[in-house]
Amino acid sequence: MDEEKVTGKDIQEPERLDYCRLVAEFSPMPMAAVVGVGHILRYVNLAFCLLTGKSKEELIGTAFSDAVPTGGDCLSLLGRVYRTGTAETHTGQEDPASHRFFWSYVMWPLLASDGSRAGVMIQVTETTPFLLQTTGLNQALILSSIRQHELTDKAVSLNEELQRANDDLKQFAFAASHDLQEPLRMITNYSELLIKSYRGQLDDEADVCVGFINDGTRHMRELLADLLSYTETGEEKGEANESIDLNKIFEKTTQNLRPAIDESGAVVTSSDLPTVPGHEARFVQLFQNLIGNAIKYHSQSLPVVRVSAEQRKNEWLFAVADNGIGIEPEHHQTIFGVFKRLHGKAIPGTGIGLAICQRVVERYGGRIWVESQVGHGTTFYFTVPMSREKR
Amino acid sequence: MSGAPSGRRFQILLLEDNPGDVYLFRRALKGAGLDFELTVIEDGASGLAFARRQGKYETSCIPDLAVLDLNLPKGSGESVLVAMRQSRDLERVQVIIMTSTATPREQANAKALGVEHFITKPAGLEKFMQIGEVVKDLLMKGVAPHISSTQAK
Repeated sequence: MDEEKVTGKDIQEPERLDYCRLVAEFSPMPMAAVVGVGHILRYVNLAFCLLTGKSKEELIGTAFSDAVPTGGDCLSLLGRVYRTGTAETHTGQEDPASHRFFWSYVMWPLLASDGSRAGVMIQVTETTPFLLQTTGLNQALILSSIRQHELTDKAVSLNEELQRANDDLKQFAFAASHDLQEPLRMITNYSELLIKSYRGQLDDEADVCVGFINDGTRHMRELLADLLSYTETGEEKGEANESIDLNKIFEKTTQNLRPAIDESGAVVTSSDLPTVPGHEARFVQLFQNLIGNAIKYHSQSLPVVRVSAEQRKNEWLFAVADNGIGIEPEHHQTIFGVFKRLHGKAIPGTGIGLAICQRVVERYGGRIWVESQVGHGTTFYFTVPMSREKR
Repeated sequence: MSGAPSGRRFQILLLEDNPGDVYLFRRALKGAGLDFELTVIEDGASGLAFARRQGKYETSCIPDLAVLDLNLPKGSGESVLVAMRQSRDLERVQVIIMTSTATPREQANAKALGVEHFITKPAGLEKFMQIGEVVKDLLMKGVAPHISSTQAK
C-alpha cells in the first residue's frame, strides 16, 4: 500500500499491519475483503457494517453475496477479479431488492505472500445521492435509536413514579373526604350537644364559643370537599376523545350560575365558541369558576362578563373578561395556588376555583393567565390546543 | 306522643364502632320518645356472628330494627346485611344504613337488599336527632298489624 511513501520511512511489520487495518477501518467508504472462490468475508470496516446493517460478527465468515444484495453483474465481476488478478471498477449496480439504490464497486486482488491469489478487496461507493447522505444518516439514526431507548427507559420510570404519586394523591383524597371529615362531624355534633344540654347553666359566651367552633368546622368541611374536587380533576383516564361544544358548556354554566346572575343583575354573554376535545364536566368546572368569579368580584357597576374565542395558529385562545374590581399585579401568579384567597370572609369562597381551572387547562395541554387593571376589570385567558387530526 | 304508643318495648340493633355516634343515636331515640332496648355491636365480625346466630348471639332476640354502619373494623356492614338477608330468622328485619360515606355501588346494593333508609351521618345535632323520628316512623309502620311484614317499597 501507499502509506510508506507518505511517511517516507520503514514501518515495523506489526505496526504496519495495525496501520493498514486502521486506514481501512475508519474509511467512510464501505470496504470488505473476501477470500476463496466462495468470496467469504474475512474483513469488513465500520462503514460496511453500517451499509449492511449487520455487525462484524454477523458478517465475517458469510458469503459476500449473502451480505450485500448484489446483482449478477457484481458477482461475475468479483469472480473475474479473483481469476485474473486485475483490478476493476463497476458502476451503476442497482439494488435488486429496492431498485432505488445504486452503487459502484472498486475491486482489486489480494495476493498471498507467495504471490498466489488469496481473495479480493472490495470498496463500495454509493452513487445514489440520497444514499450518500444516508451513510451519515444511518450513523445518526443508530445513535438516536440508542438514545431513544435510554429516553424510553427514563420515560417508563418517570411514568411509574407519576402513577405512584397519583395513587398517593387518590389515597389522600379519600383520607380528606372521609377520615378527616369524621372528627369534624364529632366536634360539630358534640359542641352543639354541649350547649343544648347546659342551656341556662352556661352564659352567653358559651353560645359564642360554640358558634365559632361550628364556623370553623363548617369551613374545614368546605375546604376538604373542595380539596377532594381538586384531586378528582384530571383524574379521567385516557385521551379526551369526546367533542365538546363549548357553546353548550356556556349555556349549561349560565344555567348553573342562574341564582348568582339574577341576584347580581349580571350580563353574561359569549361569542360563537368552538368545539374542542375534552370532558364535559371539566369544561363546565372551568367556565363556572371563571364566570362565577367574574360575577362574584364585581365592582359598583353592574357586572358585565364576556366569553370569547379566537383561533390562533394551532390553538384556541379563550378570554373571560369582566368589569369587576380587578387584581393587583403582584397577585397575578399566586391566585392560581390551592386555597389562595385575596379577600376575607366578606366574599365567600375557599380559594380552590382558579387552582381547579389551571388543572383543567393544563390537563388538556393549554395555559392559563390573567390580565387585569385594578378598578377596571379582569380578563382571564386560556388556550386549548387544536386536535392534531383536525381536518 | 312519647311514652309507649304501641305498648311495647322495641328491640333495636346498632352496628356502629364510633362510641360518639352510639351515644347520639341513643339520645335521638330517647328524643323521639321511644321505649327501646339497644344492642350495640362494634365490629363486622361480631355483626356476622349475630346475623348467623352464632356464639353468644345464638339465643339473642330478633330485633325489630337494625341500624348498620358500613365502614367497620373486622368486616363490613354490607356483609352483615347480606348475612341477615340469608338468615331465616333475620331476613325480614327492617334495616337502616347509617354511614359517613358510601360509594354509589354500596347505595345500590343496599337498595337491592331491601334497606328502608340510607342515611349519611349528619354533621349538626338537629339533623342527627331527626334520625330518632325516622326510626320511630319505621317501627310504628312495621308493628301495626301483627309482626313485621316489611317488603314495603
